[in-house]
Amino acid sequence: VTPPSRPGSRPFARVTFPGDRGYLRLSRATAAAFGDSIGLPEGRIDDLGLAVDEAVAWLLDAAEPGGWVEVTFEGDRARLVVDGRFHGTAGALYSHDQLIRAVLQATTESFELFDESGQRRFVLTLAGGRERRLPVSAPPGPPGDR
Amino acid sequence: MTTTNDGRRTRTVTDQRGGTVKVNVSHEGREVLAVIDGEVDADNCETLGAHIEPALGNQVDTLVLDASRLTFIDSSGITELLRLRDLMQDRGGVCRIQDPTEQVRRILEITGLGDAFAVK
Repeated sequence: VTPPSRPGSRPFARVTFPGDRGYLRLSRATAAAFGDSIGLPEGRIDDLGLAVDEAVAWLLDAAEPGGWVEVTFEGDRARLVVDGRFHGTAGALYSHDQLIRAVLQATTESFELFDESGQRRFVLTLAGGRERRLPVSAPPGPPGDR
Repeated sequence: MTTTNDGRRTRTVTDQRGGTVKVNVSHEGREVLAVIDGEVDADNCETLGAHIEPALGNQVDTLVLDASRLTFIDSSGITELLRLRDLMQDRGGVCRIQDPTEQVRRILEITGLGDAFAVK
């Protein structure tokens, strides 16, 4: 984890780890530590950890061994941007992608998932000072129903 | 496998890849109680199901998932719990989530799956 780089700059952290789902808990722990360091309310820290977990799990879906993940956190309590990238080769996405999107919709202000030629990246934007939001659209049914 | 004073047969398993989840499965009559302790994510969700499913013999009609110690679960974990629920429903049984933590309630609400389980 990279600490803030220079005085006066926006809080920043970067974590890199192997492309293995066993490191999901590291991504959650980093999100919680960063959220706490910028003064997010407890509920928003929980949402941040859940959003990062889901997004990193999405990055690693059908990932082939040997790749690695880079996640950066930058911002403050008012606006936080999380950028994650998978460096490696990944196959087709698994079907519960829609549940991941439902969670990201409810826990972030906005999110983008990029999947081009197996190169995956996500960008999450959170407004830390806001209260939790309820889902704004009809949530998906169980995976078996789709 | 051990037998408790109240007659329940119990079995405790721990995720071998870091020990973030522990499951205690016990039987009493036609009911199976699975106490899930820790965190469930895309890494260990299949392990969770693999340890509970063998306890669901044909005579079992109720699966109770005690989520009072489940401190984190993501959509992968919820998907695995749905699979267990489907197994029970296919045989005419029920699957209930008992005493969920706030985080469990939150993700059930987010995903719209709160009604998929009998939550108590």
